[in-house]
Amino acid sequence: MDGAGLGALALVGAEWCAIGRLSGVAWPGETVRVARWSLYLLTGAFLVGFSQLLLSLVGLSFTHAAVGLAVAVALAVAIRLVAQPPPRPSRKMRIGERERYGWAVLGLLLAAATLRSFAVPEAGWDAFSHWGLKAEAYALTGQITNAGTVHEYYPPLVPLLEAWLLIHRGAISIDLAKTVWPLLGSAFAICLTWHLRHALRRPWLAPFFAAGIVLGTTQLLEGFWTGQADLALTAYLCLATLAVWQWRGVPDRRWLVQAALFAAAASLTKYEGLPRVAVLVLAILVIAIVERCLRERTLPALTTGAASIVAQGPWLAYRATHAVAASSEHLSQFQPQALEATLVALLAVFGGVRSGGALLVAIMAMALAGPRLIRPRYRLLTLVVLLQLAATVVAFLVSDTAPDLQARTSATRLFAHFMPVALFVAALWLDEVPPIIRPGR
Amino acid sequence: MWRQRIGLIVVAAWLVVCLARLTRLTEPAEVPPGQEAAPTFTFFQQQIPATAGYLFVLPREFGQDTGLGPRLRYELYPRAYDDIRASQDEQAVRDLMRRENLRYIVVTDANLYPTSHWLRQPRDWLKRTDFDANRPTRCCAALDTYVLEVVF
Repeated sequence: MDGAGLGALALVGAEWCAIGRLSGVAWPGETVRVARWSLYLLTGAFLVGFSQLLLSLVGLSFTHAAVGLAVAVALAVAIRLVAQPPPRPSRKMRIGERERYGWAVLGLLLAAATLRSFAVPEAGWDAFSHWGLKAEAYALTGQITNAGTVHEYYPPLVPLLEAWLLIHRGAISIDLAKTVWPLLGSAFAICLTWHLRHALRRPWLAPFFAAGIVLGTTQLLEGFWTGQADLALTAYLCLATLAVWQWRGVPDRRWLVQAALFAAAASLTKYEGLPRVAVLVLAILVIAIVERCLRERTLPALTTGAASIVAQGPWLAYRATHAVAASSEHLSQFQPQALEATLVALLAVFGGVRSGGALLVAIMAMALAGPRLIRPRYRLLTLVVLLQLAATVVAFLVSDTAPDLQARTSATRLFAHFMPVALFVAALWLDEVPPIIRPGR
Repeated sequence: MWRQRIGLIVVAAWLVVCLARLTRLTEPAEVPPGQEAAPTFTFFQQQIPATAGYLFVLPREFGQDTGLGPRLRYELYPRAYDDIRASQDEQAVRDLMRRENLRYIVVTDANLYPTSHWLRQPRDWLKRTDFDANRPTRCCAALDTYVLEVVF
């Protein structure tokens, strides 16, 4: 990466952070700067991408960044008015010594992954055939346009974000375009740490567990240096899920704002995004029914569901006005007879330590947690993981391609969408086993 | 007591997985798909007008691709791309090209196809332009590269 590319990336990151800050998105309670700015970055990226979509819908170009930013500012102000964030506590937060070591470990990991993403060339097939190609087409025309791929109907957030960087750089490079993902991936890891910090009885363990989740989740680390959409979907989907889960513990409005924004972002990230958010909504509703408090507990379902539908609106309108039709490749005939072959294929895919090790860890932890998983603290996350797993297997079985072949080629990427949540559950359980790790401050 | 021990096993397993996954950071960079044909991309860009469409005949069956198709699609954008398997017969190719209004066929390396394949035989409906005449260096001497243009 050259200096101009690095400068463009820094400028794009600063714009996203500024837009996110303006939107009023916030963590409940005391925070540290890095957690706040990570949240701003993820929010701002979505809002800028959504602004590009709105401009394309009305036939305007986002080649001039100021136009896109103006729309993003308007969106951020509107969200701020709805979110009504309370003033941030002025007291400075202190981090203990042991936790600092954890943050250092996490920081080193993220820095190493980021440096690698700057150094290695793009090697993802889907990046060349789809995401990077679309980013090139959008950057050249300053609009969402037909790039001639077989997936024109996929939601456009990922190529829009890459195109935003290419426009700032003033040149087309697939190797530069992918460098937005270590930014978003690092922000996700830091937000994940903050969720863990809220959840664990020994908060100093949070950065260690977050590093374990980022490292362990199959294909997540690889997503830092490959321009494919799964890292973004994993980040937005998991953060929406965790915000809903945190709201169950502390029903603070700020969690709902996070859940709504990130669910909306997830639905626009990938074709699988909307079904994944639908699974989350289903899990919330099932738990609300089981707990017999439908009125109180369905608020996050309404928020995340409504936000996703609102976010999909402009994209569906664009598709309708530009005759972008979906193909049947992902929704073909249901093939239950292929279940056995699909499961065998999954065993083969996840047979190695690096590909399936974290899955085994999550299964072990969840099996050992046993009846705890149906306790209120674990219930929602457990159900989300199980339903997302079931949805993934069903997706293989309705695929146009032979289900076992589909599983072989895409299982690691699709499992990555919910594996951080499964490992989050494992961290919660391990935190409850006292003698393993001595209590900290 | 058993929970503590098993918990310790889970932590140990997680650490092992993390260490194993950490090696991803130090592995050599993966080669971009279709990199073997990289020296030919400029030739194709020169031969095929930006407004034209082209066909790539995938030399292998599904599941055995090398990623050359996606790479060509990216490198030759905004030219319209389509592909078809080499196992398809010549008439199917002509029908597809007529239907999709494709004027060119790119052959990155003819050695990937059987000698008897129609793509390697002279055809009166195709005009062949070889890369040889344009080849600047000996970088890709092993490749038998050309463009076929539909003449009628």
